[in-house]
Amino acid sequence: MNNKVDVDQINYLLYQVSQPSRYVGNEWNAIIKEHQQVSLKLALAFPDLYEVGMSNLGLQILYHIVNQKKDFVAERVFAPGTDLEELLRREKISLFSLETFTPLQEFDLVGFSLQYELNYTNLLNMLNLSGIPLRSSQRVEGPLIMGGGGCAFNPEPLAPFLDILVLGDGEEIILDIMKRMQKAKERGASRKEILIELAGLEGIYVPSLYEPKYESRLFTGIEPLDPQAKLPVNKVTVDDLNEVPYPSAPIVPYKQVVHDRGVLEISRGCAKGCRFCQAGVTYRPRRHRTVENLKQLAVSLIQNTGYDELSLASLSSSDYPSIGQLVRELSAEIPGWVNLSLPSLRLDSFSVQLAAEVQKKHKTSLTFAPEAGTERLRKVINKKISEDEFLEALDHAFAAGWRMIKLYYMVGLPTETDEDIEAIGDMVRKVIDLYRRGGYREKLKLSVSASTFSPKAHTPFQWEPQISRQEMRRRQKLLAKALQKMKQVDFKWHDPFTSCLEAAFSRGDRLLADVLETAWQKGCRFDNWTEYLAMEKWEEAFAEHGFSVEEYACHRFDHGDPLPWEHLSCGLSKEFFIKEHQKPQGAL
Amino acid sequence: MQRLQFYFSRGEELIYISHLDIMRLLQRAMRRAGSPLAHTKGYNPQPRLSIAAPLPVGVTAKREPAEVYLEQNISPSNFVEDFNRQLPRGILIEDAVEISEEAPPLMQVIDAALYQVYPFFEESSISPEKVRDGVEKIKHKEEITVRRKGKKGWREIDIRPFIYRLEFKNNDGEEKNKLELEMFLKTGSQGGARPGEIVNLLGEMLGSPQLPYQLRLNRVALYRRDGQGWTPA
Repeated sequence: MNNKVDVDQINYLLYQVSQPSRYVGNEWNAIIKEHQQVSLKLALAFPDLYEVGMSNLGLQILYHIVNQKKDFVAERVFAPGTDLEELLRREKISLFSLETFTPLQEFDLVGFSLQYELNYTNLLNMLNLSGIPLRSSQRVEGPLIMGGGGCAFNPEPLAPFLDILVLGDGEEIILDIMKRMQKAKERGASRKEILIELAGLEGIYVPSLYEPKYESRLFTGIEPLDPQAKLPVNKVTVDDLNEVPYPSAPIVPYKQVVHDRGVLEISRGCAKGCRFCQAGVTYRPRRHRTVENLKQLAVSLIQNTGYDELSLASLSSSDYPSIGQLVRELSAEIPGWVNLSLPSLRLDSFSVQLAAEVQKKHKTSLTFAPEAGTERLRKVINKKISEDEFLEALDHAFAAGWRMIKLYYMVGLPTETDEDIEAIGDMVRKVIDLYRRGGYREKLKLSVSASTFSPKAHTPFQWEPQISRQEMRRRQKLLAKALQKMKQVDFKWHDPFTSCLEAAFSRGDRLLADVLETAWQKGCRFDNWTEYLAMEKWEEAFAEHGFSVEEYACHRFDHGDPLPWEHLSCGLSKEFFIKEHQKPQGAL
Repeated sequence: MQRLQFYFSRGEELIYISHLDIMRLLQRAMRRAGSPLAHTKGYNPQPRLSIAAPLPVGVTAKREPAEVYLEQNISPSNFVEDFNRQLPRGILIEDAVEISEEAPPLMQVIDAALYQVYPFFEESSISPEKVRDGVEKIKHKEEITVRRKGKKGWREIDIRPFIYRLEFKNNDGEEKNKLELEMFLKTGSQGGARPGEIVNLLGEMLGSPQLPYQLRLNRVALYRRDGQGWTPA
């Protein structure tokens, strides 16, 4: 498996799989370099299908930054569909990069994007499909395996499989890592020496240099095993977004991907402080690109891609300081056939007017996330929106021509009662009444979706348990009943076991690594796709190691308990989280 | 408003992308090239670009007709040159001509497709002579029933009337052992035959199934009806 996978083999594989366009590479703006011309090779690995991974901005950013350097190359690899996996195994062909069909083990560094807990089995599968031993301790040669992204802030369930983790923004540190590796490679440093050196960098966590402690299998703390192992490991942030490179010539996929459009990241970080939200914490502080910079980027992005849609991305785009000016100036600058879109809107009239201004052509749907049905519960989670503001925003939306509204709610939030759930029904009924009073001719389409609260590490609700699966089903039924007579409403809810696994892994400790490996061995893959999620295999895997999923998902931590992720810091103190956790108690 | 007909080829690099992928690719490339693409009027404006006949996945092509409406007139040669600069390896615009706005849409006039077919049978001992005999037998059949999966499940159709011409090609020199067939088949919205179906039938007759990933197909050109015969579209 040492050489590149040859063209005949690729043809042999692709003729036999569904959706072969996932694996062809050679897209517009893809960068292909001669490997003899570079000194260090990075594989950007995404543990989900091509169409999901290609919609990830971080991947495009890092691809762009690394490939700008003459000495380095970055190539992409995604989780193969189950049909391709079967063929690769049968024919003993390694998983390969899309750019040059190079097997993963030929790279110096493989960086996995960790966006979602339910992708973890795919990560193990991708290592295994490349002939790379799963555990860091078993690897004596081959690439270093790195992880970064949102889930890197509690990577303990993955710790034994990863050599290094990056906490925070990747733009600057990726080059630091590669430069250090390049020098270490030149002087012939050992794997261990390289890891210890990288551990000295701000933002880098090397799990093998720390040992977690347990008492009767309950986590009691973590000990550094080397003087270079920092405690805590702090995340790195880019000071000024305008100063770091941005992919204004991103790869344009052939296949239709989840977000099939140009993306302009206008801000990073969030002004809100929703107590369940991890991204709001880990992406701190809030930073913005300037209008001037965004105008330039928009023009070259459209020129370089030919996209007819440009999305202004951020965690809350209406909170960009001069959003009105930005939208007007961008519209003036870009060609008329480009449609601007604002994905994450605040729930107020200002935002709706803004959306109306940019979405001139066709008004598809507006999405809002009130999260909870009562003002009391919205105060508990710190989602500051009153019912009046909510209805006023929708009134504007109807008047502006929107006929399809999507509403996102969360069930199982701390302190939630049956009244809170029933209140969602009342809220939705008020929306329908409001629309009726407007006397609009077309039919209103309302999509209501309810996810289940999953506590996340590094949030004020990190100590809170998730409700049991039985309770999830009871509350979902209650909500379905509250909505049942409204024929305009399309109600969707999340699969309970998916939420349960997510909660278990988002706050899990290192003992879960064995469970994860067992689940993978049993054949678990693509756990985020309900058609693949194998609940029984997962439950067996937990049981074989003496656990249950609920034991992790429904666990309540005390403020005094050591937490499995506390050696990693996102810049906020424990006192802050405790204060934020206690604040809503008054609203009970 | 200007109506241009252009021809593109597709190489091995891009045989795995779908018809809709090609449509998106062409639209984006034209926008990058700065071509003044015209759009449909109405609620959801779409670029006025169409391809004569969808190109199946796995098939290379020499000369696929497509047409586009432009807001401003540009010379066909400039159009081709700018377009090609924005296309990835594996797709190339061969040439373009201006056509009358009154001419019927391309999609409606296509009647036939010419294919070069390179089968590869599991049993390598099958001689060209045997294949030639098989081809002759197929030509003498009065009815050829194939099963196709449609929206309403499986159905059987007779593709014999859709086979306009079928030929075994003699290869000399270096490619002596490479089997080549030429197929001229009805295509378009009124039904048609697919080269793979005929090769499968041949494989069955020879007692050696065709391995799908080893079949090479090249669509040479598309044709329109012209009296008793056909002319390239």
